[in-house]
Amino acid sequence: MFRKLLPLLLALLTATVYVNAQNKKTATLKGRLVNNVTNAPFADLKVSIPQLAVFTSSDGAGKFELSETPQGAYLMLISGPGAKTDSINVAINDVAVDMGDIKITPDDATAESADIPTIPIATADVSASDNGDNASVGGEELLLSGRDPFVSTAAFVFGYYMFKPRGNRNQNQSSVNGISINNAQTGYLSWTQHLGNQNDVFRGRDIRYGLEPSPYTFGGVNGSTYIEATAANNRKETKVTYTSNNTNVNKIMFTTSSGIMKNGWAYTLSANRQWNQEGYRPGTFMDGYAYYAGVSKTMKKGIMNLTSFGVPMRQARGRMATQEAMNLAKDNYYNPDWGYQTDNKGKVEKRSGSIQNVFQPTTILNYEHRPNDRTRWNTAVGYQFGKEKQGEIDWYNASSPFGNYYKNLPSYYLNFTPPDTATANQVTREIQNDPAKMQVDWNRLYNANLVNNETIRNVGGIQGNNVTGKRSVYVLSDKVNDLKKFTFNTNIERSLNAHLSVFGGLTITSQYTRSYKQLTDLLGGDFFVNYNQFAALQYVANPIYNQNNLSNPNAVIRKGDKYGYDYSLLQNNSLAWGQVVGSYNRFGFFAALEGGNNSFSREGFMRNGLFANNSLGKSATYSFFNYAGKGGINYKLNRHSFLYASAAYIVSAPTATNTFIAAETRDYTVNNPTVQSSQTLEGGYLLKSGKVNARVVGYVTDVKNATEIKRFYNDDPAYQTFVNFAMQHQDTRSLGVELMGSYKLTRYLTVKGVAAIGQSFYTNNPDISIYVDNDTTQHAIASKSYIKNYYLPTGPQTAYSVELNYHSQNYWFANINFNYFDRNYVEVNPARRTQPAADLIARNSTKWNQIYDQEKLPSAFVTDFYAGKSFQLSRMSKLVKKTTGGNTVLAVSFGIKNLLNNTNVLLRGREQFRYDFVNRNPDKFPATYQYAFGINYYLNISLRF
Amino acid sequence: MKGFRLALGVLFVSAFLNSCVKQSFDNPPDTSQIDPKLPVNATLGQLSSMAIEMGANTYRKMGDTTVSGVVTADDRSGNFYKQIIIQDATGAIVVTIDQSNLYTDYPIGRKVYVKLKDLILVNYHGLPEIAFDASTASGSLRLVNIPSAMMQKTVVKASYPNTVTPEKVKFVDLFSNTNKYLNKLVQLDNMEFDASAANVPYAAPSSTSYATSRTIKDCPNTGSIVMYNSGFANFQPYITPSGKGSITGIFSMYNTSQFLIRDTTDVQLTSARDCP
Repeated sequence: MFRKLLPLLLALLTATVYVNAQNKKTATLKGRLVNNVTNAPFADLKVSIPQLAVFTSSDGAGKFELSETPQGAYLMLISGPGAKTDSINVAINDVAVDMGDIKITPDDATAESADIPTIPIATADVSASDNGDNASVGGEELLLSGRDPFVSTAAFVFGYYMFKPRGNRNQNQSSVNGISINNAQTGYLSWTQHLGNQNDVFRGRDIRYGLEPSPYTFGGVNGSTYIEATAANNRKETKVTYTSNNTNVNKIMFTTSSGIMKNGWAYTLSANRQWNQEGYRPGTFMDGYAYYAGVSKTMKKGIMNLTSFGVPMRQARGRMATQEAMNLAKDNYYNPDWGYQTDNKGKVEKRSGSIQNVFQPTTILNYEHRPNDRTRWNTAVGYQFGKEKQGEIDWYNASSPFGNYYKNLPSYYLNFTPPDTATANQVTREIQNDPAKMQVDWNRLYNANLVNNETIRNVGGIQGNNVTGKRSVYVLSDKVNDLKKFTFNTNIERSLNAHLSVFGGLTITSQYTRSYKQLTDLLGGDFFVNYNQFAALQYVANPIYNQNNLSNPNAVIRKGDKYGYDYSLLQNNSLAWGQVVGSYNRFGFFAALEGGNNSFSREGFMRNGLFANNSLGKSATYSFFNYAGKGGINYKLNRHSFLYASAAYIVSAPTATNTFIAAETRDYTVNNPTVQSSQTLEGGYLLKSGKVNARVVGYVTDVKNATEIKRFYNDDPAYQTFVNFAMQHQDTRSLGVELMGSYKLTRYLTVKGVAAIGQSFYTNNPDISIYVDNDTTQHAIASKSYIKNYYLPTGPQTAYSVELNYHSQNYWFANINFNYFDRNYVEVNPARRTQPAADLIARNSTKWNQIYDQEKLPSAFVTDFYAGKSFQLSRMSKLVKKTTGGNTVLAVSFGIKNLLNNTNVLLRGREQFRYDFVNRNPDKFPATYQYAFGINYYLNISLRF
Repeated sequence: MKGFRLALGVLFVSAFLNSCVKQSFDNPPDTSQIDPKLPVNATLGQLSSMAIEMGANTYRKMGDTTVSGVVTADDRSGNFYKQIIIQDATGAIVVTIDQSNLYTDYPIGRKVYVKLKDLILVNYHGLPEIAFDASTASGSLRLVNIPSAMMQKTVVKASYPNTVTPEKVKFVDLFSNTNKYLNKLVQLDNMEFDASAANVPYAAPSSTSYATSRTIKDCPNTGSIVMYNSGFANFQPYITPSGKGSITGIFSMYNTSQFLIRDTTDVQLTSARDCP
């Protein structure tokens, strides 16, 4: 389908063929960029002469060179990550002009964040699991720190408190050296999981916010991030960093770069290890490594880079819980997923039942071709593979192993009619006398397995093949996603003349993910059996329906065996885009188009008893044509300020997980799977003068025709089983304003104020189809969910920050910020807004309101503080200078988040999807919450030489 | 290259740090053979008689008494729900616990101790039971099972397995000495399903009714009793046999006497049918 876009792309490429006529007298212009504050070389900055439409970027040593520059007098612009944009008048009147060292003032916003280590402390350590649906939701960094003063606050300060810029729930599109690092199927990206917080090597970032055009990609509604991580980008340096914080995370990071050597080669090696025994949240831990290895070879007209990075990470995360469970555990950071286990020597230890193991390394080969100073053409191939394993306790014909199972708690008795207070009180006392009751009792799980002797008949479908032994009722298993992703990307950038530049690219992605459940620990038993528990309950004594795999019925499962489900999704995406950016005296514009095709299919490897004819083998291929266009104009009011307005219309394909009703077991899809559309409009006023920096921006984004499938246990008497709750034709809107003003009080002290005030909400009542997970038919019950005007769970929709920032000449900085958050809404359960949820209850009665109202989390006030200092050791000591070669810097920084130790800050809330359809009591399955950590601090020491 | 060597050094050191984070766990000790040997100060026979003497649908709080018995019926098949039956040499009683899948903790053959402090002894429609609480507020007797949070403390696990042998009882003796046999695991010989109850499912599906009564009788015929089968049992759709043989199960009572099997292996009607 992208053939439609091909002519456009070709037009853009041919435009680049018109090379301007050679000037008579040309010159080679070179220089070196140095950081005004640290005196270190400034790499990765773009050096351009707009009038000549030539550009280049500074290398690891801060050096740049522009050849064949016509002689004359020009204005040169220097801009890029971490630097304040600077303009310099140059006069080229010789064949070779060396501008020497050019001092560049670092940009405040990044100067700090560059030294602030990203350690996944609070937000990433909790998953929002709901009734066996183990999908981890959100809780990941949204944006990398940006250099725009608004974006840096939104990402770095607000992001920690679950703020989602512009109410966008999707993750930012990010790529490294041209290769997209988002999951091609889900769009998911974890900075921690895929890049491993390797700040040293992934710091060269180009961040585009909103609809701002990027030279590298079309971008999404929420912008894009491009990371250039090549060996050639790093100057000769070795850096050792140690970070420690009070959530017990230790991180050691080591990076060494050769710089570009005489033979044109450069290498960078970086590795880190981060671990803790137990995090701030009980029963969690982290045990990870990360590595990066890059080699570059500069050539006459370009540079070839081979880059590989990966993050072997093993960690135990927590889970959201109800306030009742937290109160019983007397801990707002209560985590149900761990418990005590006694070993055979009688030693008692904490063990988590939810351990995640991920290692999906990426390797990228790219060649950046620079035939001349007006053209950059990067072509990259990338390959990523590896497994993501989410561990969980699984059980068959046994009661829930979790202490916070609702029937174990006092509220279960209080929700009786009439309430049974006496028993509830007794349960409260029992738990308070023995807080371990709120946790997993591993010894009990083992002992349950040890006493369960059974004979499984006709194992493998072979008559008389009986296996007798201890059949485990509790096991540990991994939900495995085994990924193989191949990406090809080519991207060209070309300045046509002083005013116009064209950009374009083509991306082809093929991603294959095989997903299955794998048994990892029999917990003392001899075997497990590949039966479907819910089918066995629904179709009593049916020997076919309860089989997860009819090709191997009654299979006895041992450690390492696959069971439950086993299927793959193949995703093929192709995309072409082109863009033109113009800049005239006062007026500027951009226009971009994108088009392509997304297709996916499922292949099943188990013949499920319930869906004997729709589970094994290949499904049909679902193919969608995507297209998008965006454009914008800006108008300079004067030297310091301008107005801009941009708009975009984006049509995107649904994901496979929102198309297949339950890809685990069958190839059925929702009715008429369809593309969704987003239209967005933004505009504003930006001011940047010597002392004042201000931004007033408004935006509105409408998403139409979205499809979303929620999977949960439905307590409606009509179901009483797991359902796939498909919402189709869902419309949402996000609108709001973004304000930022900063003022330099003195040469060193800046005050900054930021406000993000938005509204994100549903704008219609989506169509609901409820598919019973264990129903052999494709029959769906259709209804509507009345969620129009309910807010989306996009974190605080009001966020304010006031920040004081001091930057001393003597290499130190300090920053304190005061932040206020409000209008953070609990994620609503769409099933609770269907007609049966409040059937027979008087409209607008107290109970009716209780059922339908949306809870707003309390507003919160938090303060963060950061400070740091670097010591130019080589200047201080002649000895150091002698031994290390003259550029040794020791940097120390520390930060305190939530300085006032406010432990009542609710980060997010989520209504349980399980709802009491019998008594229509919304308190039977109350919402679950996650609290922000109280005061937590870190210390970061790095030595560069 | 100095940097390169240093990099290797750091990686080497960090490999040692690996041991900092717990990687694997030893299996906990197998405690299934252990008997905590709690002092027992009443027999199940005494408890059962006490309940019968109290009269139907009455209950009393218990003091600091501990009883002991071996589990003779659990909920593995789903025919029993949220209860187990324990038996000693003198008698047997129902223990109601507010949790499903009790067989994983208290399978048939497990010895248990029940600490009666904070619990009640109840005569539930004629059947002696141990529960957490009861109320008559709604007009009829409602039991509160032992909450799961109290379960491990009050129903203490002891050795497993112990042999469970049903007592062979003549069908007529069940009715002549009802109190003696209540809650006991008994084996009845020469039994048949009543003609109306043979060759039909053990129970109607749970969506139709929670439980179904199937009459069984001895042959030659001296009387009959209702076999009460749960619609939630995993043998619910199985077809009742028409032959003659032994039926093992719990002699029970709900206003009138009834009979409960643990699962269909309790029904061994392997001989040809004798009576009409």
